[in-house]
Amino acid sequence: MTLVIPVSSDVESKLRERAAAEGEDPTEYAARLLAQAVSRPSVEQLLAPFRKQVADSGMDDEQVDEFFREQLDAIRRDAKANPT
Amino acid sequence: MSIPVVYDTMLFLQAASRPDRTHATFRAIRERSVTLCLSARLLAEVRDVLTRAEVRAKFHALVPEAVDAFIEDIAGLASLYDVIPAVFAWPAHPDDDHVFDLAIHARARYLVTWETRILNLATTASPAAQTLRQLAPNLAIINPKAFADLIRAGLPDRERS
Repeated sequence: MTLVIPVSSDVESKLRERAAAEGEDPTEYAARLLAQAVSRPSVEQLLAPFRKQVADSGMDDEQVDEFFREQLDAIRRDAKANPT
Repeated sequence: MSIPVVYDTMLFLQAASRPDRTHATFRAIRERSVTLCLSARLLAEVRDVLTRAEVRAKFHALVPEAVDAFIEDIAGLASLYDVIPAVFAWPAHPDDDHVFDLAIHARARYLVTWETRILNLATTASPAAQTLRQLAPNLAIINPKAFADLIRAGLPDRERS
């Protein structure tokens, strides 16, 4: 299969730079990156078990929000107590 | 660049846990109808919450690999700002300052949030609200549902920068 993928000039220059560093043609390098990307599980696949666990938790939307809001507040409290 | 927007931290936590609650707002990013503006600090907050021990204890299926992939995915879709001047101070809720600073620095057109205190700031006459209006006169603060309706209705051309 042949794909035509528009990329920004910034992406193009980085792609050329990295391909050159690996001693590869930019097209071959891009195809290898694409092959690596599609062989990995997608974000949706990786998050699916977590999302199912949330859905099966018995918590409604407000309770889930409240749980995460509490965690966020705790993170912010910790950051204030231990400024870097 | 399409319309610059800032989403507050809770929206990312919802997108990770229940994408149906934020579907339209995140689809708009993927479809490039809007440009998500992100700071390193906001992204770090999302990661810190999702990797927190208490969260893992409750939801063991949220493995580090999934968090990494989620963060990488979001960052890849966004315009990232590493250094953001601290120009806004809201004494009543200083934890939110960095979100406003991002919106001001990125010249965001919309700040999207479910937080009532932030939504109310848009309509109050408090000193913080007045300062915000001076620093970001074009910033609208809106909840995700209203923002999704706006996207569905088609954002006017004048909104695009």
